[in-house]
Amino acid sequence: METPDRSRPYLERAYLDHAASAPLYPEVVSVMQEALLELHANPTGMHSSARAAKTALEEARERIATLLGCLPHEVVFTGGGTESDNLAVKGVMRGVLGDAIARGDLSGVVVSVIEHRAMIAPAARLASEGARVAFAPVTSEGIIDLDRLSALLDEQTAFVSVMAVNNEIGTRQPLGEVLSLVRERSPRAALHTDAVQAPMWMDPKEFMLCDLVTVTGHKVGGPRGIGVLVVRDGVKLVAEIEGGGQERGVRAGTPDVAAAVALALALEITVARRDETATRVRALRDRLISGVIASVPDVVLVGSDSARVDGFAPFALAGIESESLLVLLDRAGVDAAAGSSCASGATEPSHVLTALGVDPKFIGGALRCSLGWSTTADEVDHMIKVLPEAVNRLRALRVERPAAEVTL
Amino acid sequence: MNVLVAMSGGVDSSVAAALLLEAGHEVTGVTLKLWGGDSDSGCCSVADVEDARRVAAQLGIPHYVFNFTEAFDEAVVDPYVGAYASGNTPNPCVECNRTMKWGLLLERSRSMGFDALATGHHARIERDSNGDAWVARGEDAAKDQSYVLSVLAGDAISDTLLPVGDLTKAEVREHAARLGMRTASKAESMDVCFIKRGGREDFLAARVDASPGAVVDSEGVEVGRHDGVSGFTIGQRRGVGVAAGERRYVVDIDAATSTVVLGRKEELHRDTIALNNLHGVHGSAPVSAEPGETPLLIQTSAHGAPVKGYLIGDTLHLEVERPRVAPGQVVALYVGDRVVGSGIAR
Repeated sequence: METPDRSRPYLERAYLDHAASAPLYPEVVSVMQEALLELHANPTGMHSSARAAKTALEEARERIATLLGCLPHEVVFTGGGTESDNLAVKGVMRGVLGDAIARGDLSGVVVSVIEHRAMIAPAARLASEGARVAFAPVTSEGIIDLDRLSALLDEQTAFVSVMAVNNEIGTRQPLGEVLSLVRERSPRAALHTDAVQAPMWMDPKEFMLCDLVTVTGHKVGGPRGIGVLVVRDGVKLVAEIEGGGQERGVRAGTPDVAAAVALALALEITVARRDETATRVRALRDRLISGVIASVPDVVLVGSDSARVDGFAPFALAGIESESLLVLLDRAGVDAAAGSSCASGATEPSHVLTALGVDPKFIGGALRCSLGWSTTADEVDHMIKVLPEAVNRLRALRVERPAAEVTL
Repeated sequence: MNVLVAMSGGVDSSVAAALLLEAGHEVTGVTLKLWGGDSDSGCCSVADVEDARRVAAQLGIPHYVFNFTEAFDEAVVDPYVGAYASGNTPNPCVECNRTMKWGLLLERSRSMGFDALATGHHARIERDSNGDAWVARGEDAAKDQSYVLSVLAGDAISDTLLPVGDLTKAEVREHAARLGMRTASKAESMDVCFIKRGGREDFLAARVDASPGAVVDSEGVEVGRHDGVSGFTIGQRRGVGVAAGERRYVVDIDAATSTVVLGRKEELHRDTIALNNLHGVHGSAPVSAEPGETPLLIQTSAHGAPVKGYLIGDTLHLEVERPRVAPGQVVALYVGDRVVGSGIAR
């Protein structure tokens, strides 16, 4: 076995995990650092320093609203994507559930089966509190099955969530068609979309047509720990975090002004450079895919060729366990991912690949490469160079020496 | 060598990793996530993973977490529940060693190209004149863990390093303190990792269908009722749930009829142990020991003094009587300090 490749120090690794967290734009780091120093006051105070912080916070909100195409007061700052998803589904449902359960009315929740666990888990929680929760299936390409979604929607449905872009396989979802179905079949329902993977690859108009929209900082070159839930006028939300009534009363707590300022700039940069970045990343991503397909046997690309956004190369390899592959790639200087990870850092079996009906011989060998604004051709080429060797090693030893059989 | 160290987050495996590094090996740490359910003890919690990760960071070695929860359910938890349901008393930690650490993990370690797998067990690896590797008792008799490794096959032992086996527990703690490790004074985990302290009955009750039955005396006279055989272990004195003049012990469990038999302590005494799953570390030959040859040293639990005896066929004949070993328990066989094989009491 080779020793870890120390010729590629920390920041010079091939970082192919943008979908987990993208590097911050250097401009964002400077602005955030300045804001941390200058805008330290609590924006709810009465004094000049507080006013400066409050002004910066509201300017950030206005800039984000302008970028997304909504009203400033519809932008609610949260602690990130998971909180935004939780607030959306629990905030809507807890507003109606008490009465609804009593009347047997408006208790339906429909979310796609490939949602992030930030939506699956709270939906499951609501099911235990009396909501009628259904998971809408997807096609083998990972796109919501509109006919089957339609069959799950009814007059009593209060909340629907379909993510804009899936975080494991990068498929964009037909939100326009979903919206039409929801309005037609469930006129009282609020439609939410988790758009954390979307702003890099899509015009905001494509996901802002929903009633509730989740965006987060660390996928768009901004910091972790800040997100937005867009709450369009007319949607009633009950707060999850209660206290001082900040953020229109739906999200109490002293707002992170510096992070909000940083998020506004990160989103501006992302939107302004989107076409250029997407074009460049698409070429790199296609180079990665063709390089891998050409040099590694028994590998498939998961999802949809037509609906996959530019930053994603979701592979699945036969005869490989993701965890072993990620270890070898890590040692060879590549940061990549499998499906989703749990709090301990272990890899979880992918509920997304299972939902797509991916062939079981590939399902344990998920390898998600995700590219973004900072990705270079060198990084891609490094991956193309080291992946075949890692795969061959794992496959070779498996064949020569099957499972360590211990007789007892 | 390129060594993969299984790091539980405890002091022994932390020091094992440090000693390997000091000996000049290329060391990589891995922590297994084994149990997905609730538990407040043992080696599976996120807090223990964090301890292992912090120690690895302190040592400057890479650290990974492998998710073995599905395989652990299948290979350890389900058989554990099944054993109790059928009136047996299993050793889940031994099964975990056999199927997880020296099963799945060793397989992965080899396929990733590591030269050896190391753990923090208190036992030693020794090689005979043929170059065959054996597990032997650790330096610290009170902490010796060779019993829980008695099910390993020779080829697995051959790829194993046990760096703390030559140390006493006190010496391990001294090393940890010298290295300023956060795990230096951490308490030892003594429980089954997937079960909360004192929660075995609740754990089993949630997984085993209730099968109420009779508690009878050794003449077969019913003296009480019980909720299911999974609550009983051979040799158990308390929790029997019937009033009796003198102390009674569980002397037999018949899962088929859901009957628990009570008797006097003497009725537990046996001078033989019949074994299933007879295992020889390097094939069966070294395990056989007939009267006239050097007796085997027989250990029926993780700690405690071994008894002498001989193996004829699949039955151990003991030199002195001892209380019956609960069916399902691992019986480790030694020649001197060396583990030569094992079996499961039936």
